[in-house]
Amino acid sequence: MTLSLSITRRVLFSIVALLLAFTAVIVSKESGWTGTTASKSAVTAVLGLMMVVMGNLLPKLSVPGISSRARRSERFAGLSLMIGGLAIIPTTLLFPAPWAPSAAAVVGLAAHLAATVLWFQAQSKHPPVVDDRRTSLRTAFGHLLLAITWVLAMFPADLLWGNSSKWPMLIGYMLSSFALITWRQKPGVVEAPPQT
Amino acid sequence: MSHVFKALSDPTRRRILTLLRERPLNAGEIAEHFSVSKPTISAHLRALRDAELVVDERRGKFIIYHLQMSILEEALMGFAAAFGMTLHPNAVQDGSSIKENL
Repeated sequence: MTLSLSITRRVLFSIVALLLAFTAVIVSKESGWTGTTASKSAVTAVLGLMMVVMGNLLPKLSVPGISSRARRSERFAGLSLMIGGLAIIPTTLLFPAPWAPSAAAVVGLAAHLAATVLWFQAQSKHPPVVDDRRTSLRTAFGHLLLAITWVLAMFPADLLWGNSSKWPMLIGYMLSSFALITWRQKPGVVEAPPQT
Repeated sequence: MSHVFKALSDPTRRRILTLLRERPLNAGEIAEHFSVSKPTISAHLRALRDAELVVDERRGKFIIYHLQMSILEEALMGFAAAFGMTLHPNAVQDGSSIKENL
């Protein structure tokens, strides 16, 4: 069983979108636009859009042989991501201007954290040997989830602790990313083949 | 996306997807739930596979079919089932389009 090209394309789209988001942040910083409510709202909107795309795609990255419970967890994680991503937009529009980006980020973060925990739990129940390409895509997806978690968390952290929160957040992201790289898949529950 | 619309337009294929939602099944097990022939079911499964709504995996002498739908595709299926909609202009209800192709 091989993973289709269109799924690969969609995962690549998410990675490119994240790179574009980082580029937008750098460009806005250079142009002096950064720090404004509009720039922060734009970043949260991009993150929300990414969450919608990733949430929709998440169940497609599942592997055959996974238990029904883990499969349900993945679907719920996808749904949670999509709802969180969609919720960011009205929150940005409804909250008063200075608080809007942080409020949107907190709403997105709550849904995103739930999805991330559910998804990583489901990963530990995946069969240890699957085709390499799918495993690589899931690893890339895990890194995307982790990166978005930390980017969303930076908004409330910035509001609470100001600019001093930047480095602890960056170190936290690097440490969690390193933990993900070294994370080993545990053999989990594999669904029994159907009887005939 | 056209493949997805076409696949979801057929009630037999939607029923197959509903069955696969419960657990992965092989072609024989799926065919037991329908009055149509096994080759017709195979053609339906091929259409679903082409639309990337299911994936197949060989286990011994059996080919097991697994559901692989995105959130939106599942919502689209629910929408089509609820309103009995034909989502694709070339789709013919009750699998007759499949029979014509055999």
